[in-house]
Amino acid sequence: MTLLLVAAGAAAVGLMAGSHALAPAEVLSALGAREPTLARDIVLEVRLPRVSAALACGALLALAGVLLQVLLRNPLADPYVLGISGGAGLGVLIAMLSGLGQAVASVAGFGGAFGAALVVFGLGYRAGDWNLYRLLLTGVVLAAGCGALISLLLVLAPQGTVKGMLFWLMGDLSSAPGAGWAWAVALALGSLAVVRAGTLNVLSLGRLKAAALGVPVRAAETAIYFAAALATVSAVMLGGTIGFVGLIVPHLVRLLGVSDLRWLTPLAMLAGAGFLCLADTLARTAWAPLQLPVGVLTALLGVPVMLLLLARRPGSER
Amino acid sequence: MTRLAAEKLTLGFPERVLRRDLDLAVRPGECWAVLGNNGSGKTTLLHVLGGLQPALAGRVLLDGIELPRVPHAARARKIGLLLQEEAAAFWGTLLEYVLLGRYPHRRWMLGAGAADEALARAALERVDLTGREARMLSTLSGGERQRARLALILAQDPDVYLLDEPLQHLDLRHQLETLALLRNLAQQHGKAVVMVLHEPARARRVCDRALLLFEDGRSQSGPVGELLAHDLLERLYGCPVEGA
Repeated sequence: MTLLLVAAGAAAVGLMAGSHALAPAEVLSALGAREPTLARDIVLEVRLPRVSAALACGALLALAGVLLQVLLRNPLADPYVLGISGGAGLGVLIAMLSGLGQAVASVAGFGGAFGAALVVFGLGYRAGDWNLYRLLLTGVVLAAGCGALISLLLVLAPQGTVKGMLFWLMGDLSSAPGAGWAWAVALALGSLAVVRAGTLNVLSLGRLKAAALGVPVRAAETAIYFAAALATVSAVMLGGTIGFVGLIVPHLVRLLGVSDLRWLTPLAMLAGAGFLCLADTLARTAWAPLQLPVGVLTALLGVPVMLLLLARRPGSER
Repeated sequence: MTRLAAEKLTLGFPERVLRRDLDLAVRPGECWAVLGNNGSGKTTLLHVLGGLQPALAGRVLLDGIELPRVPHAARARKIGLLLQEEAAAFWGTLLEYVLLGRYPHRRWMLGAGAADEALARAALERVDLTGREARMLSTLSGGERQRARLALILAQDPDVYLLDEPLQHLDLRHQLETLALLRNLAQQHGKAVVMVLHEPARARRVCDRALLLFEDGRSQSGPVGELLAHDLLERLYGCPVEGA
């Protein structure tokens, strides 16, 4: 309940704050207004799409983090461990360098991201079975390779396009496309994860124990992999490679005492949505009129919060 | 009636065969000890009997049906497997952990119900862990965690218990209580129990049948009184076994 209020509060702050601050009553009347007014244009045309994108993106990143931490049984797993961000970054940057439009860049990013996910899956899932170490290592190696190519592109790129590229790489919601489809993906994957949370809980005991308890492990792991990949690709398409949300939000919720994935999954999605929405509001207002890449803010906010929570729970291995 | 049977099993891995032509027939109410040196295939045998690993040859029958033909959940309702090690850390409480034993019995969308929780609490009581339900599993000692793993399988309530070194990490009192519990499961509740043990004296205390896995790849099974004789044990372990 608290996290639902936090997410709703973050969305409200996101709608009110900006270079033209609006009172809650103004936001409410703008949301219901039929006649065009300045407040209505600001809320419906500018802030609501961005708040909506931030909420969906944060929920998707947190969901991907939860799923990958279960799949890899590794608390350090984050949505980008599968090399998806590297693949997406490479696709988008090549499209930007070629002078292609936003739509083509998005398609290129989608292609790069899913291409990377398929390569990692193909190499990690051999002879009909998973090798999680090979999967993890393939993801890390692929991400490093993409990182090197991205650095090369940044060095070779004309000065004028470098800033746009850097913003995208650091995570930026200022040019996020409409988020309706991302909401659909988040709700569908989130519902599926909650419905199958019993299986996720058992899988977190390890593959052998899960198999001993009747989980069809290969099928479940394949489904988790592609669900996490789809959630990550969708988030990357909205806001570039926004770091930290997928890694720390699941841990934040665990540190609050929730470990059952029936509750942890939706709570992490709510917390991720609220956290990214607040970070994005700060990113566009803290140094206004200068807009910061939201990825910088997620790290600046996430690190101290995580350290504080860790310090409050000494001895916890969670 | 045979609950779990192995016919002409070849165990091991493609690069190393551990055992050939192994036969086994476990009936309800029987308590079996599996003994042998390290690397003799005890754990592999339990994994094959539990359906976690295919045999290189031969077949396993559960209530007369070939194991690969039994659906995953149905198999888990009938066979409980205590692994020698659990690879992953669990982030929840002791009660949440033991409740996972009810997974094969649940309807696919529902969580644990009141009946499941009652079974989990009863299982915790049987392994002397009452009062620690809300503790994080990660904060328990090695022996307490081992009893928690036993409690999970008790909550699973299978017909066949395959237990890989159930006494590891346990102090003497809890070793004896666990052996009494397992003997009770077989004798009073008709469960079939197969456990890997390293102490012949413990096997004599609770088991009625034994399976010996010799270094040369042969195996021998029969009543404990006949098999756990001095000369056979010396052949099994390749060392003097006075007082074992």
